Amino acid sequence: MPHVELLGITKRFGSLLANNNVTLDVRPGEVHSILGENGAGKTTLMNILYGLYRPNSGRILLDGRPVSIASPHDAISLGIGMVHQHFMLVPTLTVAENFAIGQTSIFRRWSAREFEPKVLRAAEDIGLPIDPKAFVSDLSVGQQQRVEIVRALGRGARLLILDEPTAVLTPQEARELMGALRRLTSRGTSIVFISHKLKEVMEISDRISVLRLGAHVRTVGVKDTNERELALMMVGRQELETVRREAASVGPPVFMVRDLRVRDERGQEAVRGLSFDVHEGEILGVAGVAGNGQTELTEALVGLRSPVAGSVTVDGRELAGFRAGRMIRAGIGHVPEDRQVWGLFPDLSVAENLIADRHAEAPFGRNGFLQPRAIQSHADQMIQDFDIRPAGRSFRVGALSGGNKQKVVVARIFARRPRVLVINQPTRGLDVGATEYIRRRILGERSRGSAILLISADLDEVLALSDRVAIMYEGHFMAILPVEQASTERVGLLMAGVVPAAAPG
Amino acid sequence: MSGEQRETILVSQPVVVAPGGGRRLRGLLVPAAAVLGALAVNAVLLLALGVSPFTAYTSMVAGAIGSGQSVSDTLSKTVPIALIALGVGLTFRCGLWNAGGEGQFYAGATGAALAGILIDAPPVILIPLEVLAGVAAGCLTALVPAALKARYNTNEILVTLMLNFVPHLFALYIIQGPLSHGYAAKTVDIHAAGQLPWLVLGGLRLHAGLLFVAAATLGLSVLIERTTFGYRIRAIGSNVFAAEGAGIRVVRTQFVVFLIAGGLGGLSGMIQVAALHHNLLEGMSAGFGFTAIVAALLGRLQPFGVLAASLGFAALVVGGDSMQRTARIENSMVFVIEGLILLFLLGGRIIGRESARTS
Repeated sequence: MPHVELLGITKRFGSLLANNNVTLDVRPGEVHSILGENGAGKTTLMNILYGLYRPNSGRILLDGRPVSIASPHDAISLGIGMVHQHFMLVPTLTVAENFAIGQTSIFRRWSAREFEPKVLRAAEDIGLPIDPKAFVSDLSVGQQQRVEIVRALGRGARLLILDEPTAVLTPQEARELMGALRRLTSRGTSIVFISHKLKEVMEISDRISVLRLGAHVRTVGVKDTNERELALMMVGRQELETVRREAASVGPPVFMVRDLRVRDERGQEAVRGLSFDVHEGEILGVAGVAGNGQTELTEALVGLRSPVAGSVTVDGRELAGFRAGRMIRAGIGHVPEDRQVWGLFPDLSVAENLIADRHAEAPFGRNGFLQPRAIQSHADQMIQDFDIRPAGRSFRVGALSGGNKQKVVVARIFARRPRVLVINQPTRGLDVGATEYIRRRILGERSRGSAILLISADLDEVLALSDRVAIMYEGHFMAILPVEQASTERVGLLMAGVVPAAAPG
Repeated sequence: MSGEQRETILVSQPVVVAPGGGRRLRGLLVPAAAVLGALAVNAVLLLALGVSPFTAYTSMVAGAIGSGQSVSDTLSKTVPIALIALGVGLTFRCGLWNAGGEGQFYAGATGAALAGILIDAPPVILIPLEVLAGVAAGCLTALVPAALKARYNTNEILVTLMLNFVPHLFALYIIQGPLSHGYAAKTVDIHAAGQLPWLVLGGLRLHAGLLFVAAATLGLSVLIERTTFGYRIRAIGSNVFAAEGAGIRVVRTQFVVFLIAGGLGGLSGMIQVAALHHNLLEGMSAGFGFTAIVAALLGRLQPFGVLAASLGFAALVVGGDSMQRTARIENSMVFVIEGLILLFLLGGRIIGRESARTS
């Protein structure tokens, strides 16, 4: 009898269908991997199992009995534990104290020391040593993850869900983790392993379920499949976009990057020696699952993060390490990944947003004073040009719809006619109409002769718009292909870290 | 820009941000509600203590605007509060939590008093010198948190709050030390040439500082809404990350804004010395620094709003003093009301932000 069954799980967030009637089961003592791209619904599904979300419809059975999981508390008491991508540990407390969270009562005095033997025992069980007296903030990321695992086990988890666990580990730590997981399953614990990395999934799993765009594609036994097949299932074949590219009239290379190395927040190298050129009038698309260095790459190219090594030139001028203002003046335009955080000023008006990077220059600013008439007429022009619909009474940009907000960002950047565009996730969270519009404008910039680097986790978007496609994985470009040679199978494999053995794409 | 420098901007976004421009009527709703809410809760407290809220409030109002003298007092009290509040409001608008108004006030007062006492010169020289001394002292006081923030991203709330003690205690040293009056807790008077007269207008005796207040209010209003520098301030206050991304020099702008606020705080102290006390006096500030913070928030960080709020608080203070004399109710009630207003304002803003989540 299966350990856990998810039957017909459907979950909506507003108009977004995150899980579409997903049915799958986990057998006792197996390692069951859930494979899929960003947005496939993997984490959402597991968050439902862990009680962080309630499904709109569907049932969950545990050991054959229907259960209702309304919160992580319920999940834990049913023996379900989860280790998220972003750890839920308190850095200023010790391991034993973190272990104690949620397991103590205010009616009884307790000390962390009671929990130390429990920590040691649980750690020993899986063969990953931990010091219960250590402060979490002093531990490495790999060690912190161990604490999360041990804590889940210490609470009696018989099913352990791990969300992209190796994303934060060194190769050595990843190997140790795999060993620990095998020890766990030999003792009867079931494991759900969420990942987009094909090699790992093939190595560790008993069965693999592939999700795509919220739906369950297929569940296969690891022995009955191979990487090629899985890649195809993950990436699939979509209906072609209505947006069509014309043939490119590509000019000389304008934007040249050599040996770029960038560190992330934690000090680890996220971009590992990247070199590429973007030509005038072409779009170089960067495909890849989010989290492989795309954010850090973007930030380094637009002046928001200093690279540790490498060169970035526009028309021969070296720009690496300079800050955003300099980059903008050198002709680099940035359409940010997260418009709310990087692109918009929610309390300012549309007109004021549209001139953010030019407010001090003529005609918008003269002798230190703003020129309201010039600003307004520019805004009127942009609003008409980009068909920006304001939000009723409020003039605040914060009140606009997502699509219109993105139009404001794009209008601001494109109005400068930049030589180079670094575009990251341009259509995230947008409806079909806005998506199509933004993509058309990007192609318009390409016709104008801008050199465009288009980073997107949406493979269809990349394939529809790009002239050449680079696939980013763990800080490298696995390959740079002309789009005609970028078949979904080939790209899917590369995105998951696998270099296709045989040639034909 | 390095990774470490990026950390600089990650921490400075405050919860409370002003809406842009004058969306008049809707903008009055939150402050009005905060004031009414505070008065209501305070009324409950009074009832619990066996005091009639009606008596308390009516005697306050009478005390604040009941007579020509009261109006004059209220307007006079507005000056120090408003000048500090305008500066503090500017820093809040730019994403900085500046709690150093009290210290900047005392620094400016001390600087101006020293100039007025030690320098003997005709008014046309002495008065500007006093202004210079006061503003400079205030700027210097603000320089410490501003520089620490710019270089190390230290938390300006803590630095300004704790730094408040230093100028205050230095002023006390001057008062008790070499320039002491001898009998009272104050220094000798500044030269007559350095004293600003009362303005007489329509039968009212008005504080000379009101001119400075008017100028500062207008000046800041123009600065914030019409200049490119003001644009940068508003942009940083709205979204510090996007400001960085648009090429705005956040650290530099915030540094300058901090100094401007320090200058205004210093000016506030200076004007009290030159126009009112004519010397440096112990207890010159009746909590002006704290009141200024609440006034800035109540005025939604907009110069004219801040001015109106400062007026309101001045009325509260003057009315409170009168209420203590006539109705025998402790005027510390005024601080309770101020605190409640602050709570309501912050609570209202946080709730407002949560419900306004958009894509």
